[in-house]
This record gives sequence, C-alpha cells and structure tokens, in this order.
Amino acid sequence: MSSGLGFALLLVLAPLLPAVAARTVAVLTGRRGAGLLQPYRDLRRLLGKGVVYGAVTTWIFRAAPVLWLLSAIGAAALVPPAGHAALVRFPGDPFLFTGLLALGRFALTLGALDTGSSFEGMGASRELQIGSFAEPALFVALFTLALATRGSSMSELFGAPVGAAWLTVGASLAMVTLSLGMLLLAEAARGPIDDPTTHLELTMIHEVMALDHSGPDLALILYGSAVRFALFGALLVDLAWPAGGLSDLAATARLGLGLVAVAVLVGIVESSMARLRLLRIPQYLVSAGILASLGALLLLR
Amino acid sequence: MSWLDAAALSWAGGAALAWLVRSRRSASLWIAVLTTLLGAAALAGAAFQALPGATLVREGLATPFGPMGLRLDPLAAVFLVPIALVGALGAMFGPAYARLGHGAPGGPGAIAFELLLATLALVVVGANMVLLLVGWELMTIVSWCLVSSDHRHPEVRAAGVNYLVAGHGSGGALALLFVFLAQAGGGWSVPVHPLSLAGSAWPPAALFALALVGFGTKAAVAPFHVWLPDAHAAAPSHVSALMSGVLVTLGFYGLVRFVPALGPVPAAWSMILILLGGLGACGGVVMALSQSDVKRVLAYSTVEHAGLVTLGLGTALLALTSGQPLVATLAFSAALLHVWNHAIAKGLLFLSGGAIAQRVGSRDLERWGGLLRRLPLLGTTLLIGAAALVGLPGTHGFASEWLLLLSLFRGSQSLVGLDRLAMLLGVVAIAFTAGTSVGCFVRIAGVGLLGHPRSAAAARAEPVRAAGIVVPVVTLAGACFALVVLIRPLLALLGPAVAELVPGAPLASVQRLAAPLPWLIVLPLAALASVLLQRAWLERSRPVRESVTWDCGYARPEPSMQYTASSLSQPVTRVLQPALRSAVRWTPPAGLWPPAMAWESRTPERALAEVYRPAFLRLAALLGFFRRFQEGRLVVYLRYVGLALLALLVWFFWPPGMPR
Repeated sequence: MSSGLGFALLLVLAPLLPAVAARTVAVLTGRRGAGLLQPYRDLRRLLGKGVVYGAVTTWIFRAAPVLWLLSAIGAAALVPPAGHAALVRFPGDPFLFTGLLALGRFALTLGALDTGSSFEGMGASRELQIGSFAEPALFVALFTLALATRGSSMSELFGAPVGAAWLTVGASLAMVTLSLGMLLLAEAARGPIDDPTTHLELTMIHEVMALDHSGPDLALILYGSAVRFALFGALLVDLAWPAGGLSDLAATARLGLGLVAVAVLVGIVESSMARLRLLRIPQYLVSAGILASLGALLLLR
Repeated sequence: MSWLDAAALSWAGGAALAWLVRSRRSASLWIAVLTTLLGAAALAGAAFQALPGATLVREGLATPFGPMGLRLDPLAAVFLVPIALVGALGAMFGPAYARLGHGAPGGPGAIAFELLLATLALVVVGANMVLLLVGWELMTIVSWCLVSSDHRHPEVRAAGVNYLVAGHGSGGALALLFVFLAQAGGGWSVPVHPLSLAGSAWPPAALFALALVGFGTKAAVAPFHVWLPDAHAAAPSHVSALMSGVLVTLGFYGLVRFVPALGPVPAAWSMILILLGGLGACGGVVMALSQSDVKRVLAYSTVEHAGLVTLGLGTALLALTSGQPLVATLAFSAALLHVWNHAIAKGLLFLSGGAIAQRVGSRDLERWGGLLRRLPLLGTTLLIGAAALVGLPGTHGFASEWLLLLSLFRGSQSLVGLDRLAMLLGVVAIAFTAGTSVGCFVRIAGVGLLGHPRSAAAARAEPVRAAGIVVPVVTLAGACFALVVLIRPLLALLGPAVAELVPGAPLASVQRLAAPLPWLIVLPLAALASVLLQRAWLERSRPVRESVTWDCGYARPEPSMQYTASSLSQPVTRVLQPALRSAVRWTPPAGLWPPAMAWESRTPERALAEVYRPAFLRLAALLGFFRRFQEGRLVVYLRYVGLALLALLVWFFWPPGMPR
C-alpha cells in the first residue's frame, strides 16, 4: 500500500533534510560540513542520555515534546505522497492539518513558558507571532488550491488534479507554490526567518524553546521539527512536481528526490541571504499571504 | 403540566420564597440554589422535548397586542440548552465563589441569578413581540443588577451604566422594529415564517438595520460590542459565564428569527454580516491579546467568537439566497454548534479563571504565575478550556470551526461572482483569528499558570476543594472531550432547527461529512497514552534529575526575569499598534545607579472613548434643553397632564370641515 509507504518514507527521511540543507550551506561557503547521517547519530546519542528537568516545571514541560512530535506525525499522515492518496483522508482534512500544526505550536510554546526562563519566553513570544501571521497565509494557499482543483481533502488539493490545474491556472499555482515555499522556511524554522545554527540565544526563535529540554525529550523535539520540515517539503514536491498514477517505486523515488531537492534549495536560500530582522518577519509572512491571495483572486475573476 | 410550566413555577416560586425568608441567610440561599437547579432541569426537559422536531405552543392571555403566548420550536430549544446547563452550574458555583473571596454568599445574588435565568428563557420562548420585548428589558435590568454586584468600586458602577445604556439602546431599536413589523400587517406574534412586508412604511433595509442594532448590541456584533468587556470584567464570574455564553447568544437568536423573516435576504445583508463578523473576530482576538486582566481577555474572546457565529450566519444566508442548501446547512449548523461549544468552553474558562482569580486576589495575569502547581485541578481545567476555545483538534471546539471552514471552502466552489470574495475574506478572518487565539490562550495559560509565581499571593495560593466549584468545572471540562465523540448525535439534534431556516436541508450529507470527526478523540487519548508511556520508559531506563532552569548559565533566575504577559504578545501587538494605539507610561532609568524604572501599557476600548462617549455626550447636551421641564414638583406635572388632556380634547372634537 503506497500511502503507508509514502508516510513511512517521510518519517524516515525527515532527519536527513536538515543535514542536506546544512551540507549545502557548507559546500557553498567553502567548508566540508558534517556527514549526511549526523542528525540520525545525534538522535541516537540523545536517546541514550539521562534527563534533567528544571525545578519549576510541571507536567506540561514533560508532555510538550511528545505532543510536538505527535502533532507533526499526525499532520504527516494527511500529506499525500507523490500523487498517491494520503494515509488518512476525508473531506475537510486540510483544517485538521492546520489544527495539528497549531496544536504543536500550543504545546511547544507552553512548554517553553513552563521553565520560567526569560530566554524561552522570548522564543515562545516570537513563535506565537509567526503563528498569527503564518496561519492566514497557509489557509489562503489551501483556499486557492481548493478553487483550482475543486477538491476538499489534502489528497485532492495536493494530489493528481494538480497536474491538470498547472495547464489551466498555472499562474495561480505558481503563486501558491512560492507562498508555501516561503511558509516552509518559517514553519520549519529555517533561514532567513530563523537560524538553526546560531549560538546566540538572543537571536534564536525555535532553538531557544528547546534550551531546557535534554536527552530523549530533546530528541523528540529535534525529530518533530525535522518531520515538520519534511511534511512542508512533501507538499511543495506535490505542487511543483505533480504526478499521478505512478508505481509505488517511482512514487517513492520521486518523493525522496523531491525532498532532497527542497532541502538543497533551502540550503541555497540560507547561504545566499542574510537573516531578516525580527521586525521584518510579519511583513515576510503577510507577503506570503498576499501572494497566495493574488493566486485566489486570479481564480475568482 | 409541561416542562416549561415546571421551570417557570420552580424559578418564580423559588425566588419569591427565597425573598420571603431573606432574613435567614443560608435558608434563603439554599432555596434559591435548589429551585434554580430544579428549574434548569425542567428547562432542559422542555428543550430536549422540542429539539427532535416538536413544537410546543401555549395560547396565553388575550391582550390588545394579541395573545401573550409561548412557543417552543427546535430553533428556540437550541438556545434553551445553554441556559439550562450554564445556569445550573453557575447557580452551584455562585455561593462557593463568594466564599472563596471571603465574603458571605448572600440570598439576593442567588435570587437575581434565578430570575435572570427565567427572563432569558422568556426571551427565547415568548411568542409575542411585546412579551419578547418585556423579557428583553427584564433581562437587561436583572443582569445589570448582577453586573453591579460589587457596586462599591467606581469602575463597576461605570461598567453597569454603560451596560444599561447599551441594553436600553438595544431595547429601543427593537421596540421600533416590532412596531414597524406589526404595522406592516404581520400582527404582534414573533414571526416564524418570512413576512410579506408589502404594507410596511419603512423599507426592509431599515428594518434590517434596526434588527442589527437591536439584537447585534446584545450579541456583541463588532461595532456594538463596547459594553461587553467592562460588564464581563465587573460581574461575578458565574454571571460573566452566563452572560458571555448565554445572554450574548440570545442576540443571535433574535437575528436568526427576525432577519430571515424580513423576506428573501438580499446578498448585501449577508455580506454585511460576514464583514462585521470578520471584523469582530479579528478585532476581538487582537484586543484580547493586549489585555492583562484575565476576565477582560475572556470578554474580548467572546467578541471574537460572536464574530465567528455572525460570520457563519452571514454565510448561511448568502448560500440560502444563492440556492446552495448544502453550504447553507453547513454554515448554519456550524453557527448553532458554535453557540453550544462557546457556551461550554467559555463557561469553563470563566468559572476556572474566576475561581483562580479569587484565590490569588487579582485578575491581573502579571500577578499570577506558577499556579498549575498550587491549584492543579483548576489549572488543568483552565488549560482544557483554553484548548477547546482555540479549537484544537481533539476538543469539541474544533468541530464547529471545522464545519464553518468547510462551508466557506464549499461556498467558494459553488457560489459565483462577488460572493466568492466574501468566502475568501471569511477564511482570512478565521485563519488570523485561529492563529492569534493560540497566542492569546498560551498567554493566559503560560503566563498565568506556568513558570515562577509572579506575586506573593500566587506563591501562597491554596488548592480549591469546595464541591460547588469542583463539580461545575469538572463537568464542563469533561464535556469538552465527551462532545468530540457525541458530535454526530449533536448535529442530529440540531438538524430540525437547521431545517427551520434552510428548507429541505441536506442533513444526511452533513452527517456523512462529519463522520470522521468522532475519531478525533483518538488524539487526546493517544497523547495521554504516549506521555504516560514515555514517562514510564524514561523513569525506568535512565537517571532523571531535577535542577535549576538553565537560563543560559545564570543560576539564580528570578520571577521578575520571566517574560510578562504584555511582553509575550508584544511582537503581535506592536505590528497592530496603528489599530490598537495602546497608551504606554514609561519611566526610563536615569543616572548611573537608576533607582527605579517602570513600563506600563494599557489598551482601552477606543470605540467607546472616541466614538460612543462623545456622541452620547453631544446627545445629552442637545436633550438637556428638555430638562427644564422636569421640575420635580407634583403640581407642575399635574399641569402638564392637564395641558396634554386639553390638547387631545381639542384635537378630537375639532369641528369637521374647519382647517386644522
């Protein structure tokens, strides 16, 4: 069953994507960089470690990493892999997708505030700002796709009908693809929105919320973030490289290749532009939303 | 004897009896609370009798305005359910809440609460417009008494006055509307079918505007919501819960009854509802994000949810006019279900939040903190209410937002022209609201319940064990999850009410679309199981230590170093300053060893201060002229009466044929 295969591929490949992006940045800046399997090794190392909890924390802090990962996995189950239907699908599931992303954000930011640390509060504050402005952009992108494909589930919005839609309403789809690409950078905490490699807490957004998590908890958060990256990557692949009726093997290969290509692109973006000032983030996200709205307006003519 | 009679008897008799024995405080209180519970149970009985599709009619006393009868149909029953539920739980909560504040619970408060339930129910079941108006005014007056409970504080009195003015403005608009409707030939009975307004002296648009102002003011539709935040903050928490979850929704009951009755609804009216709904939803959530008083946050969140219901109503009417029954059914089911969902989640938040605020002695989020440790039960129920109100999947709040979004997406695919743009605007408004309300409730829960205690009182807060508080909050928190499983029976219950507005509503299609929703209960269960498994695994397999929060190497983190509520929301509120225009008082550090610095921001209701207050002051100045006729002496008034009588006599007996 290919939908299960695609879901499994997404979960297995997820840690590879940050490594590919980091390697791309390294190569483009004239360094060698870490091996592509480094995230897997990191996860294994963290899973073997002990745990330390802050003395003020409650069960929220302990539950947050699990909820963060679970919500990402749940959302991944709704993503259709390379032209096949998703593992879970029903009319209206796009709103479950967005709801799960919101659930992850809810859990992670609450976990950060549970530490009582000013740095983690800062991260939560920035993450919530991204949530406020990214959500409309994401919904408008979904709305435009629903208009273009006349579908109502993720498997229709990002599935086989996309290929036909490129021929008739290509301009709208191009705008939506670009907008989703911009959203990926924000939702997966990549440059120019966030800097996954920074060592200065004051400049962090996503990383700073994981400062107090240790051992297996940290592994869950890192893996959850990688899955979030992968599922937005898979949506981009579905849009930009639409397929239909592929065999299991071809679909798997296409999804894998596409994901790696997305990660390389992210690496190129990260190495070619400086980080945006924090004040620019709302403008960036609103422009992503406006881009998707323009796509919708073209269809509403 | 019908259920309605039983409820009326229980409430009226109970209130009267409790008033008679008011000198014996606890007896009076017990009588009031018990009869309130009995009456609420009877009301629920009536509602569940009518919901499946029955209509109960009672012919009443004949008067010049037609019979003062009662009529309970499925649509009315939808609005009775929250009255019974939140009313019963609120009555239980009230005395225990007063004791938490170290005050003695009084009989009068409980009696007024009981009477408020009766007037709320009267508004819903009144079949005559005059009776409805009487109920409406009584509801305003009784709830004003409750809002002003703490009348020793000047800000509570000010909130009460605002509320009273808004309530009477609303009542005045409704009186005009009812007179014009009766004049147009429909008689005085509350319309259940579209009226023919051929004989109307006023165009239907004017009647729509009157209905929008009259009912919209109570329903907290965007520009008319200004009374709400102050009133909700001032009232005792169980009254806030009832007002926010129930009283506000009666405005929607009026809109749902009267707007379709004005004849075929033009697309422009639906657009107005959609736009005002979107404005209210976005404005409400942004204002909620910039308040630090917990009850004001919750009050503005009510404005937000009122906006969502208005948006659903507008979408339903738009789809109905364009002949799209499925979209209309989805949107209308979403609006009605949201009324129920909001009553439960907001009731839970007001009750938990109010009890916590009593314990801490402050409603200011900046003085809470670390309370999940001190008050585990109330903290957890507050969290559950927050998740449900945000509409996270796995709670009951998700279902109505899901239906609303689905109706907008379906609408964009089946409607034509400009109507689809309204769908896009609706989606943008809901998306912004959903994204920002996550921040808003993470702020309440994260700043209020987690981290270090932010005040000495918060550090000392004692757990609450009073049954009057525990039972209501646990019931409502349980409902947040139980209703996820029961979503299809709930939609089936709402079906006949939806079919009243949408003739031939494709209810079976809605049931089919909603089929996956009960499965979402898997989410909280899976989350609970995974967390427990992970805990067990970690504890067994490795050393688990507690230590100081890392805080970038600083080993003495202080409560005052934490992010505050206003700093947490600053990245969003800063961007929206052109609309919010917060007032900031900032004392910067001065000199080499600055002794003190302070930063304070306040985001008041601009519309109230800059539009309504000047307008009303101007009006008062204009009408001040008439004050000179108010002498205050009886003899002067008798003279006025005599003059008026004389004028009437002359007018009546004027000889025919003579020029007047």
